Amino acid sequence: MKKAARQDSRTVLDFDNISFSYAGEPTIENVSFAVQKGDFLGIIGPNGAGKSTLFKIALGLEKPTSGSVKLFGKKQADFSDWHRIGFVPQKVQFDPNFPASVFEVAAMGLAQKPGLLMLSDEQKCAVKEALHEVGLENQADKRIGELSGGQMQRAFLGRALVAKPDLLLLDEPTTGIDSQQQEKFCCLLERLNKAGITIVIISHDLTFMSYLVNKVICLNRRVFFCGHPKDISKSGALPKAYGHAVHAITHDHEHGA
Amino acid sequence: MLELFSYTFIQNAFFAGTIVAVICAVLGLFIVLRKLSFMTDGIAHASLAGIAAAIALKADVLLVTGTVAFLAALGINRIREKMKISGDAAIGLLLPVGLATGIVLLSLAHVTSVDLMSYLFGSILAITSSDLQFIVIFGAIVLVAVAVLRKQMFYIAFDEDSAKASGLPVSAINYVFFGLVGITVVLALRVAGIMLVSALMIIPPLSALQLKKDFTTTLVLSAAFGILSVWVGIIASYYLGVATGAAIALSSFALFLAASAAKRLKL
Repeated sequence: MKKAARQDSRTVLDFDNISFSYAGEPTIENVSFAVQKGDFLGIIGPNGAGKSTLFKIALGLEKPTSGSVKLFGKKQADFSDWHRIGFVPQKVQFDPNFPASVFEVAAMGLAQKPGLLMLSDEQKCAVKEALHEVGLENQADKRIGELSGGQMQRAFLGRALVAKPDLLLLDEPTTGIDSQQQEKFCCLLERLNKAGITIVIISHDLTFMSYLVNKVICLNRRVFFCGHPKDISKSGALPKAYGHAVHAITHDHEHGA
Repeated sequence: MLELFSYTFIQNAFFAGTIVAVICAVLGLFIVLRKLSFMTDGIAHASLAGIAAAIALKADVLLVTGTVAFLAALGINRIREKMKISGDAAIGLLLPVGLATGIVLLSLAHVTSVDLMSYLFGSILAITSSDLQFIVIFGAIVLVAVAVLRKQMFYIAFDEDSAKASGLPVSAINYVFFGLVGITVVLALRVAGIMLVSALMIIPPLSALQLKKDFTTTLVLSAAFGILSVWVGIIASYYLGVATGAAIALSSFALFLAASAAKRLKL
């Protein structure tokens, strides 16, 4: 991917020559790629490939050893429009007995916004809208710990959507969810992408990815492949990145971006 | 029973006790949810160093103890953040240091055990007008700060990592939170004492949590349980002639048992 192409105004996320070491061990080496507005990008790679670390670097939770990240054209350190980014982590570590309703969890996505004690009417509408989007409007008063795994992930997606983000970062959002729930989740993501939200998703599941995304990056410390999912098998990148033969059932379809 | 309220010291006790009960229960809920319950005891014990220093130097006890408790609370957060030590271990580190410093200072100042009793077990009935002023001012500061930061503190208590990822200044909010806990513990010392402070900060939120409601309702219930504990404790201590701090602690526990029973009976 050429530098000039990465710097246009449609670039929402730009990793430029990122390297990262953990306890002296390099986990990411010279990774560069950009995400354009409207992209539905999948990141695949084996365990420990540095996929989640990339998200952490983008969100400022980890500092790269070298290289830089730009969010919506601004250096990560200078970026302040965090409501433009929605993030769903791989596993939300919370106590299932935590006294929070689904509505309150979704409303956490507005914690950046000022306001004393209660939400404004406009904020309440935004929360209801986000819960409607993820199909949980009828579960709003339920405690979060009472939801199924799939519903919980949708609630966290609702939290990420409530501030109406332009970019969604999803770290293995379907882990531990049954196939039926996974399918519902995928339909929802496709709808959100068609509505104009740029999505970057990390997953282990190559088949799942190929049905969903219009661009895929294969990562294991460094980028082995960046392109359309249908081209990944013939590129020979998968066995190189995974260190063994990997068979990917890819699905050739076009997305709106 | 109305004759009880004709005494100024009882009026002061009810007024101060109600304010302290509310701030303790509200902040206490965040403490319990963040699994830092040991923290109130840690700060209370560490504040003995402040009490000892104030007695030894003949300085204002609330002011010196407040400063020490505030610094101890911030110290716990700093150790937790910078040294990557868990919250309970950081508390365990500071607790004996504060307690030991207090004992050494008291030994050097030849303080009698009588001076200490009110700080160990509280003396809500001895609250003076200036104590009350102090409690009202700092209680209002704590409540306003919680009102401003409620959404953010709720998010951090639920899932600190996601709160950081959403761009919230989690570290700064944590320092404010721990500082508020330090102030609150000192205000609670006058009511319940070092040994019983958790009766106001931990038991009411635990009682509210038994009822399995959403966060806002739990917060209100927590404050209600705290107020009820103080009121029942003061009235019981007056009529039974027992120590007020202990009566408050026991009434708080009785309410916890009642809430647990209500949960079992699905009331």
